[in-house]
Amino acid sequence: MMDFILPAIVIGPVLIGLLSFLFPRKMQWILFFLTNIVLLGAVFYIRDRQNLFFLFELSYFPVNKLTMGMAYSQLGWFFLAISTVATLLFSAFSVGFNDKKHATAIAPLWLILVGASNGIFMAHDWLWFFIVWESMSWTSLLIIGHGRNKSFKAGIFYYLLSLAGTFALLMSIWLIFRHTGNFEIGSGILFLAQASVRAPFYALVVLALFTLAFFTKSALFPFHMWPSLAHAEAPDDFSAYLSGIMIKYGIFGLLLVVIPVFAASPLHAFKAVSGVPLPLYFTGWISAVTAAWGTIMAIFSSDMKKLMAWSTVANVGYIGAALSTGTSLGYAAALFHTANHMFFKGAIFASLAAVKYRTGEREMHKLGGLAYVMPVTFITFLLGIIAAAGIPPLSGFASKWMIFQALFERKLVFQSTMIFFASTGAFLYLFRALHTVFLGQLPRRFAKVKEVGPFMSFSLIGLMVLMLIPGTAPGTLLKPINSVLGSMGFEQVKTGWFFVQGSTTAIDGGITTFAFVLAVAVVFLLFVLGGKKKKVEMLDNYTSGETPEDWNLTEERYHYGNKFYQPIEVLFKWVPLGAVEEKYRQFGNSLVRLGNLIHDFFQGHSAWGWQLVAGIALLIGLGVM
Amino acid sequence: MSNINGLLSLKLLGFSFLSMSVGLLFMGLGRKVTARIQRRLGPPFYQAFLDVFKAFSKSSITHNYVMDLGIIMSLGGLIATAFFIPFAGYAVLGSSSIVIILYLMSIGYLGMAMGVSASGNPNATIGISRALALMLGYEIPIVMIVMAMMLTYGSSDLLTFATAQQGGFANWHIFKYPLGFLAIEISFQAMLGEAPYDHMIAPAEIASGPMVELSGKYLGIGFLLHAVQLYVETGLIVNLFLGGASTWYVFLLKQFAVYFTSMCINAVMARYRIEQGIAHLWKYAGTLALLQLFITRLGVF
Repeated sequence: MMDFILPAIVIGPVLIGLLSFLFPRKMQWILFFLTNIVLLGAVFYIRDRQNLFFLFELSYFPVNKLTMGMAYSQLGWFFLAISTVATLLFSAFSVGFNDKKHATAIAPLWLILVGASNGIFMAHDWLWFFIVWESMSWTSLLIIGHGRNKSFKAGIFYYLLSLAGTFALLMSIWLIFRHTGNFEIGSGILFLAQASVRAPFYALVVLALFTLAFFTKSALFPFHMWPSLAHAEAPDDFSAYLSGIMIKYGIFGLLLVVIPVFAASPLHAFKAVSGVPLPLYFTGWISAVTAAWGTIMAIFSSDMKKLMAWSTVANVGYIGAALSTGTSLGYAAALFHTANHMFFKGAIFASLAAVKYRTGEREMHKLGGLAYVMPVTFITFLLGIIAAAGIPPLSGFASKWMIFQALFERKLVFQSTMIFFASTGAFLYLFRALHTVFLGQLPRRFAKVKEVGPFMSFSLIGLMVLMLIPGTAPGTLLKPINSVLGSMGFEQVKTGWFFVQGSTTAIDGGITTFAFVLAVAVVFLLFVLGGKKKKVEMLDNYTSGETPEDWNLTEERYHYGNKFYQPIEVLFKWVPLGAVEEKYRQFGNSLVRLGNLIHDFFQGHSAWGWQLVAGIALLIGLGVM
Repeated sequence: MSNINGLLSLKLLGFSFLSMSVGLLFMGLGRKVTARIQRRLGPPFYQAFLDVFKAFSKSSITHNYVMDLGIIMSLGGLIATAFFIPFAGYAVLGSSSIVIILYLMSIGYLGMAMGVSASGNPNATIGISRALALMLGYEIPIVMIVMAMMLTYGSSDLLTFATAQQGGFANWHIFKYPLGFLAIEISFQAMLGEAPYDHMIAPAEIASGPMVELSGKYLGIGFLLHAVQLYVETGLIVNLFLGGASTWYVFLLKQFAVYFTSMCINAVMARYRIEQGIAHLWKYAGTLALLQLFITRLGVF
């Protein structure tokens, strides 16, 4: 059915974004928020309308008649739905965040980005996919840069990696197009699956190029360093979007192309290790390494936004590992964790933005004690890290558990060990962030800090609800995921609203939550029955009999926050953690050298001499002289 | 979800008191054991109960609401974990997934860490930072061993592991996974925070670490936390390696045997430095567990 609702979802925000350049900043943000409300309605309106499409023909194209446009797919809709819900909450946050003091001019660009993002999820063919993919890349570059020098540098780094990915994408699209003569995604997948038997090398190259493109976007090894730069330098309220939604485009791409090819190709097409096709086995290991690497880097970060950016890298590693198992349980786990990560990382970044909004501070050890003055922000952050650490009964546990089940099903125990290491490490760095920002001593200069306003609080509370529900009732997300799996021809996961069947055991989110609530109730009763308590000042501490006034003790000095995990840093001294970055730098230097060489040729001291020699050589070569 | 009813709530209530009292009993007996090794008489075996009652009856200080929240969350989380440990072959919730147990335990630690960090005393936070760093050392070996068993049985349910060892002494996993057992014994010492891995409390060094600002009922909950931790962790080892048990007293005896071993080691060891501790755990427990996992993986191929 040809319908104009799809272009409305995709091109609508872009047009509104362009239009909103004309408005004053305050209006831009309100327009941004309102657009997202409308989008949410539209997205849920098109739910399950399988045959929805909007295509147009390019008759002037030199090759032959080509159609390009958007079409509904269950996979795309799932990504569209979760990203729209998250974006709406982020936009509510931004409306509150961008007051006179903090306003950035990114709202129109952000609207364009939302349109491009919706376009990616609703792509019908490679031509369209590539166009919206590129628009997404450059819009995000402008947003990350947002007119600041340091931010722009980070943005350029991000864009260069993206560009490498885009070239890979273009190349692979062209390699398919050369043989199939059209840009349709579905026929391309079928062609690749057939090619995997007839011309395995060709199929592998194309798949590798696709994987490269999507790995750069999702920051998997060896492209793991861009989030720590880009997320940290991006506008604070945008970091949530960047980390929650934009990092998932690569995951979406993998699910769109690479996974279906492996699923559609005959069993004997690829060598298999423990049931996993060899290429996927490698990507699984790359993902596991990414998870561990991101975790170690996060443990060492002292900038709170960088820390969370590394944590995002680690989480994408989990998702990649789940995808690489090549089982339907793995795909379900990957989709589930994608959604959960969107919400909990969104919550974490939003609460950190709230902290920065009130304090203007980014170095964790300069903060402290904010839980006592910003309770809503604190609880959001707390639930966020509980979910991120994969602790029941919050959402992160259910999806991490499924990731482990997928790995166990394939008996990938060593990858699981790696992921488990990352997961334990996550607990370390998340607690560090919790302590240094929200607990401990509250510096006197922040004593009068207040909770954030109603818009931001609304957004934070909404994100909290989205973390709580899928933990207790995983079915709320797993049922839509099942219909995605069904539409892609995969086996569905056995799930009820509360119950999920894994490969080695089953969990029941309802019972886990019930047990936890009951246990807490028992302890609360004990706590109430116990003796009276008296509230004392924060500095009224046990100090081994010394009087703190004697050594001019201030709250800042009494806050244990810097070099929090020094013993672990000592242990990891021998690991070359910056090695990949160093290689990139060397590559960059070589490029500069090459550039200088060419520069000399045209503008150096003896440029005319070289040019003369080259000209004569050219003439000789052409046979003129 | 369907089997949540009044009866289950009552059973869970029973199990929460069971876990606390078993742990407290062990703590008292443990002090007795240490005393006898040091040729002292030691306190009576029910001393821990007295301590807790006393702590709860005294008045206490708090610094803020986060401290209350954290301390309640910690014991609550750990008791919830105890519900998942099969007791003498009986899993009260009908499920004993090892992944849930390992992750749910963390909420106990998180609660404790949060509560004492909110007290604002740097000694407490240093203790927590050490405890978490050590966690990176002992969790990985434990997970590897669990995965070795999971490879054998195709299940990650603790009760399955326990029932698989029925039918006599020779079926115990100690003999099937000897390297794994050694690894988990080392890790267990660190998990409990006993010497040589007692960095977290380190009394002479950091003023008892996390406990420094706890008083009255907060301290009481701290004691109970350690008690439930004992119940959970000894229960884990008994179910994993010592064949579980079909009767409650055999189960308790086996649990105590595990704790007894740990107390004996604790009584004669000195403390490592913290980074030595982690390195030691990786080097010994980690290698043993990795070997065990390799052997099992090769057997399964």
